[in-house]
Amino acid sequence: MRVAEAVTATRSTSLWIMFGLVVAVYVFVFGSFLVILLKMRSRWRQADRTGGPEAPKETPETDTPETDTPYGPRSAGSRP
Amino acid sequence: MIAGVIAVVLLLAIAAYACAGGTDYGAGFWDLTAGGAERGKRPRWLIDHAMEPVWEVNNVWLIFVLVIMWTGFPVLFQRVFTAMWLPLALAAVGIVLRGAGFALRKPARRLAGRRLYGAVFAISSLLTPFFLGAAAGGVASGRVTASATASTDAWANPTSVLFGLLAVAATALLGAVFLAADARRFAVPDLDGHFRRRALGALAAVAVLAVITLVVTHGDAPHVWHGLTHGVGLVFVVVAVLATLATAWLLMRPSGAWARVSAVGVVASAVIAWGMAQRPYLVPTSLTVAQGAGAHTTLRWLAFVTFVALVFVIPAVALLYRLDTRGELEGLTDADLRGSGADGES
Repeated sequence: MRVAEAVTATRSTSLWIMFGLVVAVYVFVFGSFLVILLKMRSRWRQADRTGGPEAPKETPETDTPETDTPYGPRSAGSRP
Repeated sequence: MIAGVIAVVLLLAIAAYACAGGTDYGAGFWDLTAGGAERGKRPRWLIDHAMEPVWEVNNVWLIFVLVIMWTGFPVLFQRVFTAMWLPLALAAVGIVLRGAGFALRKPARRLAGRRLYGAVFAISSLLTPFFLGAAAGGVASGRVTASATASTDAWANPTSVLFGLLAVAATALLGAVFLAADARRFAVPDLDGHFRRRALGALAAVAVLAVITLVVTHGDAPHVWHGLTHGVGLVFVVVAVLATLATAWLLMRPSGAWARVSAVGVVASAVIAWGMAQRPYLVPTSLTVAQGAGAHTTLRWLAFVTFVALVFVIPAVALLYRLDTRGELEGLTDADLRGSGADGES
């Protein structure tokens, strides 16, 4: 079976559009992941520096990083 | 003989995905309709915590369906993915986006970020089951023939559109029923009522859409219509109707713990009824199970793999679901929901 025989009958424009969509989706997901990871890093670095986990001011008290994610700044008790 | 057994396994795996994945997509549906940031805060909290332990596991069933399709019934796989690559590719994009949206929403702290990822998660949860249902409709109405090319007719026809809508309504039903049970577990009675009302609405939508689908298939998918109104197919339709009535009755009571079982019964029997109605075809009336099946040795190995999955994977998944429904995997405390709940109750 040659490549030419195996290829879909769908127009190439549709395939390029779909390919573009898939690339856009993955760029969005990977970009978001990086942005959020870097933000979390700076947030926790700040929290570690100021002596323990603290919820940012704009979020309610129950919304601390520890209730959200199983990782984050070290609590004061575990510090060396 | 063995091809028939594998076809039944495929059907059961599709039913399992419809129920487990459906509950997940349904949670996304209610996330979409929960209202603004303030009004929808508590329902979204509940949705986040209810979904967290199981949302990845539910896709095990989809993988299982795909593996059985391409290994056991390669001709069916080829036809389905040739003629309906567009809805299936969009469903795949939806699955990726909803996973990313759900995972990224929690660590995002700013409201704008949460809104963006929440919207991505919720809209994908609506579109993915629609496209998967539309693809199933293309198969049920027999449009995926050997000569079918990738055209919109394969998946944008009356049966496909109704199957898609039915899939969305069924996910909304399952999502609301399970969220109501989760609300009871966390002792937030107002959210229990909130989701039970929505479950009743979704149940009514499922019933109406099912009747319309039955009428439409009479002309558009006559083989499936005949199967649904005769023999084993009819038996499962009757079971689905009885489960619908039981679910409605249970949802009217505050302690409807059994509503989850009956709601799963509605969706599973509907899927099995569709599969039974297609007998002996994989694609009515152009591809029978025997014609679409792979080599005998391959099927034997596939049966062995299914047996291994039955022994190792299913008990693990069942234990996970059991622990999840009993709330033993949850870090969520009453305070999480009541924190802002006291003033939110009406």
